[in-house]
Amino acid sequence: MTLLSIRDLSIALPVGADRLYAAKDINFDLAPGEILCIVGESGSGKSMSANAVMGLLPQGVRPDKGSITFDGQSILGLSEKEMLKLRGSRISMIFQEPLSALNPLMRVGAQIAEVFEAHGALTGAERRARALKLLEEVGIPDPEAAIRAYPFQLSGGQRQRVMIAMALALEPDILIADEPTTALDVTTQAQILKLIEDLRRKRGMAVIFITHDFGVVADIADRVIVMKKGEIVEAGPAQEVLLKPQHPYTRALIDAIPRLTQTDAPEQVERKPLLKVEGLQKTFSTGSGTLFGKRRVVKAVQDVSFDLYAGETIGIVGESGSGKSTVGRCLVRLLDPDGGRVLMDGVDIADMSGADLRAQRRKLQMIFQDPFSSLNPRARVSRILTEGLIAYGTPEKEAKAKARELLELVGLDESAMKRFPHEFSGGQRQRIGIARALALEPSIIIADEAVSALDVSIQAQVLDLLAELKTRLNLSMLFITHDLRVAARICDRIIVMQKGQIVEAGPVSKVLHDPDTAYTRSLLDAIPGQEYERALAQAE
Amino acid sequence: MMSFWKRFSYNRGAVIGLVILTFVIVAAVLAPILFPQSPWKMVQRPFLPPFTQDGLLLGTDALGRDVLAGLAHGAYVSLLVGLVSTIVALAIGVPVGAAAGYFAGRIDDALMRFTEFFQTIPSFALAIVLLAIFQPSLTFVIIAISIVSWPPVARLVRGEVLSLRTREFVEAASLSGLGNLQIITRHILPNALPPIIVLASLMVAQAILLESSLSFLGLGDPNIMSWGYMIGAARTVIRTAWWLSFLPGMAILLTVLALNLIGEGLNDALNPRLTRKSE
Repeated sequence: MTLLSIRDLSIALPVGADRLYAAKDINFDLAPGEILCIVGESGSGKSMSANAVMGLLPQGVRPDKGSITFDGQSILGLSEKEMLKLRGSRISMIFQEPLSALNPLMRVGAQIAEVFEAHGALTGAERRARALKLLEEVGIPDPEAAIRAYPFQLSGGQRQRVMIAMALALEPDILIADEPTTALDVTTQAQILKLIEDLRRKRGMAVIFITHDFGVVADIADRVIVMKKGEIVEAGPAQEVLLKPQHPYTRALIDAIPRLTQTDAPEQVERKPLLKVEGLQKTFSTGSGTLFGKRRVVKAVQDVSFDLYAGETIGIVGESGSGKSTVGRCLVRLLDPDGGRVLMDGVDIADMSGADLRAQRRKLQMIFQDPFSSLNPRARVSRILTEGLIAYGTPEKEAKAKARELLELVGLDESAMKRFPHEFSGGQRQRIGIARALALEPSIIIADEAVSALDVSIQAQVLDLLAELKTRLNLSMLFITHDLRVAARICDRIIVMQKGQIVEAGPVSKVLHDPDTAYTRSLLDAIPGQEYERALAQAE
Repeated sequence: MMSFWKRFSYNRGAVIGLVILTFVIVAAVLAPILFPQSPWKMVQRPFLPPFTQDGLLLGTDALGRDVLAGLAHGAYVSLLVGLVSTIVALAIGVPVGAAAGYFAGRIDDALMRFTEFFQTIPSFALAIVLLAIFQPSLTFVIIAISIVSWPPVARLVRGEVLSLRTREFVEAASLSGLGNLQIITRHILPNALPPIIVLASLMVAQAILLESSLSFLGLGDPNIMSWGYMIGAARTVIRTAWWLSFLPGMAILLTVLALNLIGEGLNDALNPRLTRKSE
């Protein structure tokens, strides 16, 4: 028996888009109680296909042909009024960013009650009671308090639980989850995945789970659909698709997943450290602490010390709010540390300012997370790459020649010089960001979540590029990431941070396979797809 | 650039606005050629209604001056005042706002209190006081209008700069060793440009209205024919010769409307993501 059946569905994009169809010839069935994962890279049309089921396509995008049958009824081309009856009650949806999906000025309880109200179900008191029960069901600690909380008072994971509670309110037959864990920490992600799995079992609800992460797919999916540029390239039971992929694209995606198991880095010879961080401190405070409320103090970095040797890559890992990014920013002095010393070649740069800082900062450059906001949208690539050199007194002509060399180094064509950032893809932009960081010939590169915003296949390419550049230019790198898989792939040593403190530090193989602390272990356990990885290793 | 025009022309009102404004600009430019004589010169008997005499299409005013010549010469004054005072206001407001937003902290506090000082005084009253102190010449009219209209620019630019300065490309620029001035002028301001352009187009309209109001009250330059002056001079005869107030009034209305329509069109074209989808 099938609950939802999609046949030959094509969704046309408006004229002038980069391709004709957002999704083309989509066919799949969904049985009650089944978890179907749709995987693909950004722009593969995976979200569009799901939105078509909800009747929530953006303006100008419309289904061209095919049919969507839900519970024996064709729902493609239903009027908005008829769709409203289905949405929320029979089919509901959760999104990637729970903070923007919740109304910031409405209490959580009221938002859940609103779902009943919209469908005219229950009375006021009953709605509240149901909301409370739902919050309990999705595992929010202290539901009595949570029901009166505003979204900003909850953590990211709790917000996603609230979204799930809202989606479940009217006991839908299908839950569509569009990258619901992408914005969450690994440990929270593991909890949410478990919650979805439990709910599915308890309620016999079918789930369409959209993700780009094969680890998540391996942990949760019954069946998998792999999409590429709007077309389904492979579909089948999870075990088969993941372990015996037929299509080369699927294979390439799976090969691109960074593995946790990896060969050990060569033993470090005793050398003088290039960068020595001693007792770094940074505290953020909000509020004045006088008449208007209490002063809130967050100790973002507490007493962090480590050495970075020449040619070495240290990974700083931790969940959001662990202070890992703050460390990086203090080192390049985008933030001013409150205490401690940062010794570059024996010179303390922690309280330097003005010309001295400018002279030292050249040796310490940064690669940023978001390739879309780290490049000035109104500057051509040539200016982006040369202006640092020119600011340090290199003549323009030399700087231009150098920029061309850099582009070649990061695998881009010379013609890129004359173009604007928006003409490049995410991966290419990140290469430009890397070229900019290398322009001043630094000895240390700090990469702050440098590959987190990229698709897995692009991520692999950029990581390879970084590793290659590191050996070629004998760079030292500080690699800040929340993704232990990425850290395993590129780092020699790993520092684990929690709440502003270093909880564990050591060589990759030690930290990832035989950690000393419970916190590191919990982080490792939360990584999705570990069983799958072992199965994959065996199959090879 | 192509897509800019496409988005701009998608807004029908904006195109109409542009047509009207072009007409006003042509009138202003051609005024000295079409009406080489001074608009102050008496040419016929007074109170000649429109369309009654060849060569005097819109008739004459209370002193027998050609109304059409007055309108054409007035267009030049209105546009000149609108444009120059907006440029001066931008020249004050943009640096103040950029400095406040970029340096934050004490500098921000000081500059914003200074801005608020100007914002709390009703702008028209301040303009009247300023002109009462200065002598009423075109230069001082422009200066007075600029002084009362720069604070919103400073506010807007400050807000834009505040949000841009935390962006990663600005941080990257400071890591590349660029100085503050370079970061502001080369990285931040170009990205803050779209809302500034939109505001500027509306400020031109505002300035034209202010100039007309001042001239209406007789505080404008007495040697220059302007729309506001024409209405002011004709107000005593509004019952017998209503068209003498009505015609320059229409000129002001259409020009200001055109600028507002263009401002909205610019807003749609420069901030495509904010464009209202419902149209």
